[in-house]
Amino acid sequence: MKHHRILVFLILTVAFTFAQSPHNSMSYGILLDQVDASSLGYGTAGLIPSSNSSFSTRNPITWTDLKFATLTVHYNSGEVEYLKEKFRSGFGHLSNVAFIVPIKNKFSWGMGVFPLSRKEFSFLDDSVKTVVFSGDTSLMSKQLEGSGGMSSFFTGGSWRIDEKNSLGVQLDFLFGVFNEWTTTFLFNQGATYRRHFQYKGTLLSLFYRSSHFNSQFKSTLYFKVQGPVGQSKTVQTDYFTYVDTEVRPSRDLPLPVTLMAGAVYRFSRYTHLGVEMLKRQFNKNESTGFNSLPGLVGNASRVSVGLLRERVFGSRNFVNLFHYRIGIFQRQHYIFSPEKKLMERGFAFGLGFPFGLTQNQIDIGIRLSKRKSLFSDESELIRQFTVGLTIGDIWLVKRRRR
Amino acid sequence: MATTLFFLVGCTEDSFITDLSETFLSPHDTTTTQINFKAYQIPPRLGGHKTLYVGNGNGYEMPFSFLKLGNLSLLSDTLLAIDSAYFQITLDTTRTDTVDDNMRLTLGYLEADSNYSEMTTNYTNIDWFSDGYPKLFSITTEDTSSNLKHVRFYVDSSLVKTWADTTVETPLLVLESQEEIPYILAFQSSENSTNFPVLKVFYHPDTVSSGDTTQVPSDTSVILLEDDVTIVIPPNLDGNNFDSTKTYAGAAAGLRSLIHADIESLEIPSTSVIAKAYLILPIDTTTSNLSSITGVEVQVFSLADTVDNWLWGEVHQEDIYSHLAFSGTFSPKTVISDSVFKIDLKGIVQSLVSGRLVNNVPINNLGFKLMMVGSLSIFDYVAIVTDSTNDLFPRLEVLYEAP
Repeated sequence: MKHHRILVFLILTVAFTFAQSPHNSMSYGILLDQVDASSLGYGTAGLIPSSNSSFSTRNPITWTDLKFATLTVHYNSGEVEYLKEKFRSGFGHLSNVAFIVPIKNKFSWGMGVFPLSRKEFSFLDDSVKTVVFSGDTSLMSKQLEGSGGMSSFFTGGSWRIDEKNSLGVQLDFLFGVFNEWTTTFLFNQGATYRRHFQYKGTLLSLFYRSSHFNSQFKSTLYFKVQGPVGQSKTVQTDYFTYVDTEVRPSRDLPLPVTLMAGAVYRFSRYTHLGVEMLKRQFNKNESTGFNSLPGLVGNASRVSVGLLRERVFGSRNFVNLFHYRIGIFQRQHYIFSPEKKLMERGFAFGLGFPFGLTQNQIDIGIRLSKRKSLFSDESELIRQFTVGLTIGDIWLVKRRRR
Repeated sequence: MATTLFFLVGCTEDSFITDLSETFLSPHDTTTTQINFKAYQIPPRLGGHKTLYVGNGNGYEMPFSFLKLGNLSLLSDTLLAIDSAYFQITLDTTRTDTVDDNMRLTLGYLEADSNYSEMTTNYTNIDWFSDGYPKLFSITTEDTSSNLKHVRFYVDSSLVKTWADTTVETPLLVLESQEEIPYILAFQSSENSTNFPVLKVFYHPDTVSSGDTTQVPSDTSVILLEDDVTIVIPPNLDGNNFDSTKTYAGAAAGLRSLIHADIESLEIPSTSVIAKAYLILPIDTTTSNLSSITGVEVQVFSLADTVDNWLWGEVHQEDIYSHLAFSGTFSPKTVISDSVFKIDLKGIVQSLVSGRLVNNVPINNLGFKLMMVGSLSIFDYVAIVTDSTNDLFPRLEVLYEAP
């Protein structure tokens, strides 16, 4: 019982810790493209199957291939290190929870929640400035901190039209808050200005899978287009030291259009090569208003290549009991400084251990990447570790009487 | 395993160091010299001071001081026989112009009027006071051991009994000079902890009345003052006595100043935090009347009402310019430094800029009232330069941080 409490405390302590990065101060912060352990270990952003050769939590089209209703939970942790270990920030959070129901291998439906971005950051001014006023002198220090982020509650489904064509659709209901504090200390007096943002919006994603080239080229193609629908808005509330809170009129929340394409080439029955590309474009080339430091919003891209070796069914060899994943990726983030692009390159690998008769699986993914900082000449080193648990059962399926 | 545990719990949160000069809450400084001044005069109210004055000097007239005796009911006992009594007041030689070995003073006594009040009585509201009251005459003595000069007024026993009569009001004493003197005599008031004015009464039990023929020693009763105040008639605020290009503050002179700085022209955002705000007022030492630069303290208060006109030199029977006395509506006390008053208006400017509410009404920039609240001599007054073309010009400097 005691150990159980310690475990719960440990989980609660780390479950909602997000990495701070100076880049999170710009726009929505760093967008979290991969949210499950298998995609993370594969180096991809979830379009092409990564859990095994046919299933990805993030792609509804692949859900029809499941045989059981599936509950999947993923936990992501790691650290961001920059300026040669001078600054290090750890994080840990639930990265994906989804419940998926396949319907007669023809349709599927699922729902879940995952974090889209996190705006955790903490800055200190690079110099304690000397302020001279009317013959008085004071040192001035300044701190800028942010906390919050955006998450998605999603629901979606798919339809296997025939053996070669599948369609999928997903709605992401975005929600979140962001708080930013600017604090100065001057002439023995502190001053604080806090901005609070509430935002909500909706993204519609359409998916398509083509297996037309499956027999001739041993390849399956995947496509996704995602864009904002309905009203997306943000409401800013300002908190001042001496005057009343001011709620500003709501304004549009710029959301991007995202195009993704991927292909899986089957080397052999158990070995697959996956390629995935992403192009993200904001419909307004302007600041989202969330910037704490000067920054721009622009086009983003991502390309990744991964290799998946599936478990060999029926083999008694220990090595063949696991899925093996390895991948590399390059990513250009959507946030810029006037002078620099924010580029990230990384390497990933992971394992999956299927067990039981109902497509249960434990996944582990590790990703190491280097991100060129917009704020210094030194790069950020990002180490991530994600563990996921997928449990299959015959939930919501009418059981036959025995 | 160790690596995994580090990933799970190794969360250090160091701050990133970068240039934050372009972010919110950067400091801005601004100055205005658009300042209006208005000197005005009210009758001085000098209750509570440690010195009582009689005489004339520096344009001031101090015709008399009122002294209210404390309770004498102890002496009203018919079984007590008063042997003798005297009222003694001690000369403050540090503030007296000319130390006269034979000061010719009188101590009048009359029934205290209900309108008398130490804190409000001044030369304009003593209609109830008129000549014709009985007077005692002074004898000057010197305590050789302490070098103190005392002025005594001997009071006969029947008068003491009269004063002790509980059916009538305790008498009000009037200290004045027998003839007009061209100098100022200063005495220790009841506000002091030593050498304060006293009525000493020597008595013994009345053995004849009581029938007790046993010889008993005499006893002494010391009656203290309840309060005291000097009536001061200051030099009139006009072009003959004062420079109309200056503004003034002084206690006995009854001088105060109204000041209005054009804070609105500074365009400080209402959401700002005021880091510093100084009202800088240069002193014209040549036209000031200061016994010493040190010890002069002034304070600024926010006005409660609109000032109809800003004409210099108004004289009023009372202060018609009321001021606020809530936190954030007045400055701390300020002394002279390098020939200027550098008055800290941070709280006031913050209240004005952010529209602070007092009794659900926002504080407006109606102006300030400048008052002298401390000086070595009550006769001190400061002349403040109002000309913005002067080398040392009055100005309001503000440092603020705006979101």
